[in-house]
This record gives sequence, C-alpha cells and structure tokens, in this order.
Amino acid sequence: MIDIYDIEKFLNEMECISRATVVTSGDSRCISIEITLPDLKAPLSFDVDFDPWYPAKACGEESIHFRNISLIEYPHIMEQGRLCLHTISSPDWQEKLTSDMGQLCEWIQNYYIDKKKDVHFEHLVVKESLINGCYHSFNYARTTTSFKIGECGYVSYNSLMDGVKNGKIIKNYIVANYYSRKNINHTPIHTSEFSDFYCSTDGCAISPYIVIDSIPGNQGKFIFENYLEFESIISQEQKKHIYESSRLLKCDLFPLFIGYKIPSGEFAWNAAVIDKNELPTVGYPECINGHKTGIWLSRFVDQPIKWVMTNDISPDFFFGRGCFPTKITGKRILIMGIGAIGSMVAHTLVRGGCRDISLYDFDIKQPGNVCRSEYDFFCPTNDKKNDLSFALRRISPYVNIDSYKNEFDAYVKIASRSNSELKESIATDFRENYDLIIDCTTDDDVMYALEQLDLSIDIVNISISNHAKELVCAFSPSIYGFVRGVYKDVIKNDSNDIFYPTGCWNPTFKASYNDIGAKLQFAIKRMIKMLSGDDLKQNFIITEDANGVHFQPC
Amino acid sequence: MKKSEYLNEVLETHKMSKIQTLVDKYKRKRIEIEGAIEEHYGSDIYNVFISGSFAKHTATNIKFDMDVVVPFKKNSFSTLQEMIDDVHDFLYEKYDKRNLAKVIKQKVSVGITFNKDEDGDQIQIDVVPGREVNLYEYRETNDLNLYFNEDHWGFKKGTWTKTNIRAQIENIEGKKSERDIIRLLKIWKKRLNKDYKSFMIELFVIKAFEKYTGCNDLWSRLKHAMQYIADNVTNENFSLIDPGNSNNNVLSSLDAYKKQSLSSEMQNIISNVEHDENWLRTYFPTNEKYKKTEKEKGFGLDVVSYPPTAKRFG
Repeated sequence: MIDIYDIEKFLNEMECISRATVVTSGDSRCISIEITLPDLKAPLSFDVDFDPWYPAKACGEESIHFRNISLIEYPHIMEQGRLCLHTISSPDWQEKLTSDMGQLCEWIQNYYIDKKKDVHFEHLVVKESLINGCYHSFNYARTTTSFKIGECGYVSYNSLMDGVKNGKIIKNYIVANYYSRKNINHTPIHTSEFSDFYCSTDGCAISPYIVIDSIPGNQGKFIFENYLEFESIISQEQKKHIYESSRLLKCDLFPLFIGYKIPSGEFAWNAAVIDKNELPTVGYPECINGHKTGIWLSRFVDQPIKWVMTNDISPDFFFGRGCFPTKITGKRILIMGIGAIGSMVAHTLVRGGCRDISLYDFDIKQPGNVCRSEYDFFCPTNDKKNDLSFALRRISPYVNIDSYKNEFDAYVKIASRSNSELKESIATDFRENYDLIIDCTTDDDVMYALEQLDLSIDIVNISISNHAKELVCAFSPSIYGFVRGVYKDVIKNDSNDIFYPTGCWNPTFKASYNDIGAKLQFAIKRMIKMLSGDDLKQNFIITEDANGVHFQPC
Repeated sequence: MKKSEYLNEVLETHKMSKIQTLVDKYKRKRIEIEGAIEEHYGSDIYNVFISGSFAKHTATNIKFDMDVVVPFKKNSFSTLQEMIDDVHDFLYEKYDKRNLAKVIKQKVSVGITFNKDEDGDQIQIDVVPGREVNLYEYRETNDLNLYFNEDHWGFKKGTWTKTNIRAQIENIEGKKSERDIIRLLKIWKKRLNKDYKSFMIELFVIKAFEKYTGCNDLWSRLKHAMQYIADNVTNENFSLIDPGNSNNNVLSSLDAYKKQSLSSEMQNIISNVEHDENWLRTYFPTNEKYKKTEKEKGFGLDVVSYPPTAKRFG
C-alpha cells in the first residue's frame, strides 16, 4: 500500500496544486487538495480518496475518487459529488497520479471553467430496488410510431430467463407493444421493432404506461426518488390511469412505465414498481370556491419510488458496438445448408444485425455436430432448422426466422429442370422473398439448380476442403463451373484422412471449430464488403500457411 | 509449353467438328429458312447471309449462334417495326402455327426454336431483319438499320441503330490466331457463366494483337490478350469501335463496376495460372464429352491425380 503521506508530498510538489493535506478519519485515506489553474478565479477544492490498492483498479472500479458535493450540478459529477473519471492504468503510482490529476484539471477546464455541455445524453442514474428479494430488468426498444406527451395506456411485456445479479435473482422482461387505455384487446398503437417471437401476445403481462413532458431527474442525472417530485409532472388523467390500473390488474405488484423525450427525439423509459395495496396516490374531492364539484382528483403521497432497471436495447444500442452495413442487415437472407459453415454464417449474420433469415436443411443435429458448429448439446438430437432457429432467437430479439420444409430440396431441383410454370413460379417466389441466398449445402445439385433458376438475386456459395485447408467462396452467376473446377483441379483434397461417424453414414471431413471459424470469419468479412459494394464482387479462396491466412481472388 | 498444349486440347475438344451431325442439321435448317424467305420476299431483299459465331468461325460446341441476316430494301417497308413484325408473322405462319417450332420476337431478331428431332436435338436459329439506310446503297455500303424490339445495349425498345454486319464478319476474317483466343475466352465465359458480350471480347482480342510481337504459343497469346484487357478496360480513353458502326463504342455499354470486374478477373486468371497451372483447368476446362482417353492423347499436362472424391464440405 502506498503511504498516504508520500502521496501528499508528491501532490504538494505538483504545479496545479496549491495545497494538499491528509485528512485522517478512521481507515479513510483521504487528501484534501486545492487546484489552481490560470483561468480559475479561486482555488477549487476536492477531497481525494485513495483505495488501498491504488494505483491498481479492482472489479473495473477506479481506486482514486475526487469529491466535491458543491459541484453536483456539473456534468460527470455523480452521487456524493464524485467525479466520474476513466483513468489510465499504470503500475507506477507517481505516473498514474500525474495522469489522474491531469484528467481532473482537464475536467475543470472543460466543464467548470468553459461550461461545456455534452451532446451525448446520459440516461438517468437509477437506484434499483429489490422487489420480493429480486432485481427486475425491463428491456425496451424504440417503436415504429412516436408517442404523444400526456399519453397513457397499457404496455405488454414478456418474461425472459431469470439471471443472477449481485447474488440475487434478476427477473428479465422484454417490452413488446403499447395499447390504448380504452381498447386493450385491440391492435397495438405503438409496436416495438422486436421480432414476432418476442412480441407474441401469448402469455404476456400488461401494465400501465404514461408519457410525461420532461426528464424526471435532478441535475439531469439522478432520477426522482419520491412520488411527490412527480406531482406537477404527471397529469390528473395519468394519475387516474394509475389508479384504474391498480383495480384492473390482478397481481399486487405491477410496474408503471414512465416515458419521456430525450434530446435525440427518442423516448426513454423508466419503470417503478407499485404495490396496489400501498398506492402512491390518494383521492380527494375537487373543490371550486369551497364547493365540492363531485369529481375526485388524485395526488401523490410522500412515498419513495421503487425503481427497477430498464434497458434501451433499440437497434442503435443493441448492435451499436458492431454491426454489418445496412445494405446487409436489410437483406432478406436464405441460408441453405446449416451444418458447420451454415450455422456459423447464420450466427454471424444475426449478431451483425440481420433481421430476416430463412433456413433450409433436411438434416438432424446430432451430438457429434456440436464440437465444430454453432449447435449446443442441450437438446442432443433435434431438427437442425428448429435448433438453429431457437439459438438465433436467443441471440437477437430482432431476427425473424423462417424455415422451409424438407421437401424444398426436391422441389427446387425439379423446378430447375423444368420448362414449365413451376420453374418460373419458384423463381418468382425466390425473387419476391429473398435478396440473398447463401448456399452452404455443398450439394452440387442444389448449386446447379439455383444457377438454372436464373434468379437475378445474389447467391453466395461457401464450402471448405478437408481439414478446412481451403475455403471456397463463389458468387452468382459464376458458381457452378467455378466451384466444381476448383475442387476437381486445384484443391488437393485429402480424401484418406476423413472421419467415420458411428452408424451407416457418409464419412465426413475433419476440422475443428477453430479451423473452420478462423477462415470462415475472414471469408464472411470479405463477402460482406463485396455484397455491400465496398469491394469488387469476385470469387475467392481462403488458404492458410505458416505466415497466416490468405485471400486469393479468382 | 505444357500450358499451351493443354489449351490446344481445350480448343480441340470444343471444336464444332465434334458435333458435325448437329452442325449439318443446322445448315439444312438454315438453307430451308433462307429459301423460304427469299421466295416470300423476292425482290424486296438482297442476298440473305449468315452471321454470328458460325460465320465468324468463333463457335464452340458448347455455345454457338446461327443468325440469318435478311437485308431489306429501303422501300420494302415504311417502318422498321413493320419489317420485323412482318418477318415474325411470316415465320410464325410457316413454323409456329404448324407446330413445327416456337417463333418469338427477340431483341433485334426473330427466334425460331424447332421442336426436338428424333435424336433429341433442338435447332435454334435467329433471323435478323435489317433495312438498307438509303435506297439501293446496300450493295455498295452493306449498311443496315436494325430495329430494337426490346431494350438492348443501351438502346430503348422502338429505336434503331445502323450497323454493318458484313464489316463485322470481315473484321475477323483471316485471323485464325485471334480466333483461337476468342474461342478460349468464350469457353471461359460460358463455363464460368460470365455475362460479358462475346462481341466485346472479339474486338478486344483483335485489337490486342494489332501490334503483338510476342511468343506464338497459345498460353503466351492468351495471357497477352487477358493482360491487354485487364490494362485497358478501365481506361477511360480506351474505346472499342464497332467495325459496323464507327459511332458505336462497344465498351460504353459496360458500366464502371463491370469494367473493374473484368479487369480483375483477367488479372486473377493470369496470376493464379502463373502460380499453379492447374487453374487453367478450372478457367478453361476441356469438353469432357469429346476428350481423348489418356492413351490416345499422348500430350498435355502432367497426369493430374484427381482425388477419388473431390468432395467439398460445409
């Protein structure tokens, strides 16, 4: 542990500090400092707390804390006047402290002296309450239509899997649709962008929502803590709606969703859990000139608000850390063949933000598939389409998954060899439903059939050789001849060292999840660039040698 | 020389003579159609002649066109549309109505697809009607106006263009060496399903060899042609003038993306083949149907050991 007096001495030698004094109080390691900067009219004081593990951070938390409660109005000053900083990491405490003080001075210059305001909106800080010993988390997304200030109604939400947070159960939910207060059983008036699966009304719960005209927080940072703070913000009609909801809903506890517009124009939502036996409102008779009008009004009582967690998982946030270009995510994609390659392609596309995926495979997932594809053991034997659909829905609340029946394979092949209306009918069906087909079947007949259908949509064919030595990726219209030729004439496929599963099955290739994934992800990266128009669309092979993975255009 | 020997084998297996019986059937049908047209239109037309890859000797046995060009006199029809409609109606009456063939109007021609014969062969011949530009000038100029029945090559339906099909054919006459390269590139185009126009490739190759002084073996010449295309197709100042119409730059119908694609494809073929000559087999496959057995051929690349199961996986 660094001696606090060594730190004091070091601080006193810094140019920007006019005074640093250790403040001893129990076990605390606190130094009071005064900062002097050229543009500061008077020195600015901070209490600086040092955790015993300084300069290291622990559990992602800073080990130095600058406090000044009088600065609470300023950006990035949080509860107890703590400045929210993200400091550098260094094992040398003097180097780190110099940097930390530099960041403090930078904050003072930007926000205290220059009065800078951030464009970026920070969602309100919410102190989560435990409800019946559990945390609760509601995930919402932007809706296809905008809300009106003063609006109220009912929102439907579905339960997701429970999780664990800080050693407690956390109950997770997804907010689906918003209904009119008067027509709760009718078509929603606002629909979330989530997939049909997550917006299902089967078994959903409902709760009241209200939309208010201001951000319900103090200093623009901390959410209201008592219902009294809402008294002038929530209208009589909305208070009445809360009361009526408590009568309508059968459960004792229900969340009240409070929406408000944020600077970007979007709506943010917070949720407070209300106990219908202990409502935060009371009724009182309306009086005009000392006379009762016969109308009952509501007002809030002095009651702390039990906030629970809400997460804005609108696409910009859900996929914000990394997604494919909209030219890709907007495509309606059919993946044919969902073995090792097809399942990885599907996972990658869905994680990248693709929302309209159809799957085709006639095969059954077996336990032996798990080691090198995007299937798990949880349901050891299962229809691949069903299994993968479920897995993809678990990844993204935005993806709608469709799948074809097994007969589709024969249907396509018959159609492609026919001059009849069937050929045109299936070709039209493809054109109307898909923008992109990714053929991972490794079935030459499928490859041939798709080419014969003359679909005029993008088709990509992906396959690998034994040991995943080479990955071949071909684009329509030049697929069949190219792929057949490459495997016949160029690739030296090891046909001896292959894997024989149990039972009377075809032998299959040997390659690990890592062998396949390393090349496939590289190939998908190139494919995405080509399909989105950033790169020239051309067939290619991914190869590997001691120097790495190589892209070979063909 | 291994590469060139292999390419010779490719050309050999794609020769039209391998399908002589079918070619003869085409010829007989062509003569029948020509006779019928000459009899029907009499003095309204000049001598009917054939064009397309048959006439240019660039046909391969996997892809060939036989076009019958019918040069009409200027005063035969008042409009070009009447001309193509009349030719269609005549052929429709003669073949389609009698259930002998399907007759349809195409981009600039009338397509006749005869019913399959007893051998399962189906003859497809296009009749291209054109009208001389000025009365009685055709014998001197060979210029014809073609009518566009559909949007094509940047022309809208209902418009027309002047062309000189004879000049296009003459442009390639006596150029055996270039024709080999054209045929190889057409094989690449057909086998790998590329949608570049054969006419453009033809003009590119002819231009590539205008000042060629390199080696005469097939690979050297093919490589030269591909490098020439790769180097020039994206050059904005480069043009490929249609010998049938000096105002028609054939390259102008190719957009910038397709030009870049063609350039890359040509470059990729060269670099991949130089790296591993087996790539030739992918880009320019032999026609397996007419390939000699190993004992018969006695030349070619080293015997390639095809994996017994050239399987791909996913």
